[in-house]
Amino acid sequence: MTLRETNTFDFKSIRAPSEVMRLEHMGCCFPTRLSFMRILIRKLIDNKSNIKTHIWDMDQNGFGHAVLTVELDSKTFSLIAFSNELEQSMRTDRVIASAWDASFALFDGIPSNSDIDRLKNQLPLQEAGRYSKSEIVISRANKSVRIFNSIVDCLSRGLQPPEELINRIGYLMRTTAVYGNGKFGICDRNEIKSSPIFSPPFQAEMLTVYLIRHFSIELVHHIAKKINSKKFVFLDKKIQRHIGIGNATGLGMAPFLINHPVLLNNWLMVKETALSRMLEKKTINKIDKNKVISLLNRALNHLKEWITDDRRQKNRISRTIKEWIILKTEIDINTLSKLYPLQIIFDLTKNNSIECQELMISLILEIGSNEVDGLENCLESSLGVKLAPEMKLNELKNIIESNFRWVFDINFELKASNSKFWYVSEEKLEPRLGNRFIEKGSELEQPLDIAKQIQNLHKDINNFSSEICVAEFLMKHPYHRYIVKRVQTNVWAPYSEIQSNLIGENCLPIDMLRFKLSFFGASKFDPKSDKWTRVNLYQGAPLGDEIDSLENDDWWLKPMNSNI
Amino acid sequence: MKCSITELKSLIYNSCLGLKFEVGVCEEISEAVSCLEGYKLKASIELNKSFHCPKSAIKKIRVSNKSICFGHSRVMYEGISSVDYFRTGIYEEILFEKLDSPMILIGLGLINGVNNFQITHSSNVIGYVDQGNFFWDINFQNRDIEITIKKKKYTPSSFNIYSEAIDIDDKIWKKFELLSCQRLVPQSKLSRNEGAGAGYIDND
Repeated sequence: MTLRETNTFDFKSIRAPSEVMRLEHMGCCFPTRLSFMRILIRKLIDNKSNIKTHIWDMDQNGFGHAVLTVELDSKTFSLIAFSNELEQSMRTDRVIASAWDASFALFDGIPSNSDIDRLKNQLPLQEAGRYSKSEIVISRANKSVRIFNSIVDCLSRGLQPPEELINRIGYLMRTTAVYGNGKFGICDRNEIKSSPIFSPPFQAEMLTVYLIRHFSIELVHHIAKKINSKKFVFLDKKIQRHIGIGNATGLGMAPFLINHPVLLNNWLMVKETALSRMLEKKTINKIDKNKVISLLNRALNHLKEWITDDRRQKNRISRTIKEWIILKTEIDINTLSKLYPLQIIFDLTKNNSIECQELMISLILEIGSNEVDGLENCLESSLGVKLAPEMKLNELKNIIESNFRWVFDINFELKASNSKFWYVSEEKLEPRLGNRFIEKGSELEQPLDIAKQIQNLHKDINNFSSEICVAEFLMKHPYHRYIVKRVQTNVWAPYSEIQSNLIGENCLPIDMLRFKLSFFGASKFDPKSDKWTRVNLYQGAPLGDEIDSLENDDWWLKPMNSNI
Repeated sequence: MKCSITELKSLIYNSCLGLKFEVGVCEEISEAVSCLEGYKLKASIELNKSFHCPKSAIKKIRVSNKSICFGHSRVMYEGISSVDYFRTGIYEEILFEKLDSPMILIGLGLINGVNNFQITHSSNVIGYVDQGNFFWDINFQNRDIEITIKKKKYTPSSFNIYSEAIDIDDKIWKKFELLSCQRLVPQSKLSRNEGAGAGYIDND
């Protein structure tokens, strides 16, 4: 369902696509209460779900298999996990690996023994395996060599691991791929998206990762206990909560945003609508005032806890810390007692960095459960990109000239504007970004050169009578079919296009990755280049036995040692 | 080969790209064919035959006030255009002197949400799309034949029924896999060294 379909989209006081759809802006986003992980946790809490261990068949080294179950909307879903010994020579956390410490499937229902036997042979193969419609998601993960064994060692000796170590790394396992939507024969998204549980985007994938997090904590307990059951202690709950699941995200995620323009539009429309609703609140109550003050402190702690070696991100963090400290002195109960208090605190960030503005937006949304949470059903797209063949060329031209003015700021005669090309690699069928003037293969370029295609379309339209219709134009120029559909879609989906040159010298894919990951709910972005980043999923989230009260949904940017 | 609809659609899209069809054509055809396969019609086999068509824009058409006539036609081009024209409502009748795959044409109509979309051959209705339902005469297996499209109400004896299980002929699947490989670029050392996970700490 889109906001357009529900007529709830409020065009007042939202930010224009020309502002928020620039790649640099998108690369500054933070998780919000509308992030997909947050939606899932609320759903689990609403359902009073409980993670149960159905099978735990692990040896003393933690090798074997397990089945964890969870109930949602009266249906049972299972995480089937296989944990294997991995030869050191086979260990790599890159997507191009072919063996892993553990492999997983989210299974519809409770698997039979024959299902488990079947998956025992297939799941460790991952992309090379074949799956059935009973599998909704498949994934794999490696243990963090920096932390896993040292935590086992501590717990087996009755000690808690150093908090500094937990904060620096933040996860016991790191996934390198989470596959959904029909991949390798698993269940199609279309078959599950009508269910309220899985209607918002990526809910099945988010459930899988949440269960993997639970599994990783259980596994570390299991091995430590086997080493010394007398001295063994469980990890402190506050440490457990601070353990998430690591993920190294690369270019594989970037083309998704281009290939799903309506979905992209809906995510942005929902976020902007949520913001608009909050800014229009004339007053806020005492609880919310205190909450804002508390979240200002929490956000600052988060910024200080955020470790990265990436120079660009490091500079952004230190600038945001400085700006945030000033904001904290400007925002008090009196400020929040004025009329339109959220508009006031939002305006205070207008001359600050984009990162600071986006952090404030996430904070503002955080207190808006009544205004914001219902929008989660509008994140999904039921409408696709469709052609309007009856449209006259003059109308198409007008759309380009009004909605795509940014395209004409790019001079494609310049080498710098064409320097990159997107392709799919032969080695692992993964998207890659090449240098057109150094690397081979640009003739097999993927169609992510949206701005260039729009310029070319505009030129070709000028050679036709403005009174002919799109059907006739495309009959003569089938090459433009793809881009015409996108241009037409932008009329009713104004946030459907990233307003940057994605093949230009200055294109930084890392900004696309951070944008998408922020919608997932990931935090502590740790870019390792302009093409990949490490992130932490579910850090601070309630544990498997804590998904019983909405009070436990309060985990936005939550630091380990904090009551705020 | 048992597969999911998304998997099949993606494979067909990539095969079309591998054969260097235009991206918009790849999108349309992959959606139409995978949709038909969901109804147990062997559209993948049809497509495999249509893949051999020449890739060029449409040149030969005859237009009158009420009809448009395509010459020897390919579903990948004239077929797609005919559905576009049908949706505009400009012509009452759309004719093909010969069309390579009438079956895929019905899929194109279906994915574009057309209504009262009637396909005839020698005055016999062989296919019909309306309100998201469709009828296809499974006994009709001709290719490269004269076809007419009209907007006209028709009541078929029954509509085709959606089946969740898709099973593609193994040889066709392998062929499509090979074709889809033609869009791949051997990874350069440079790009491998910059991919996710690369850098100072490979293992975490």
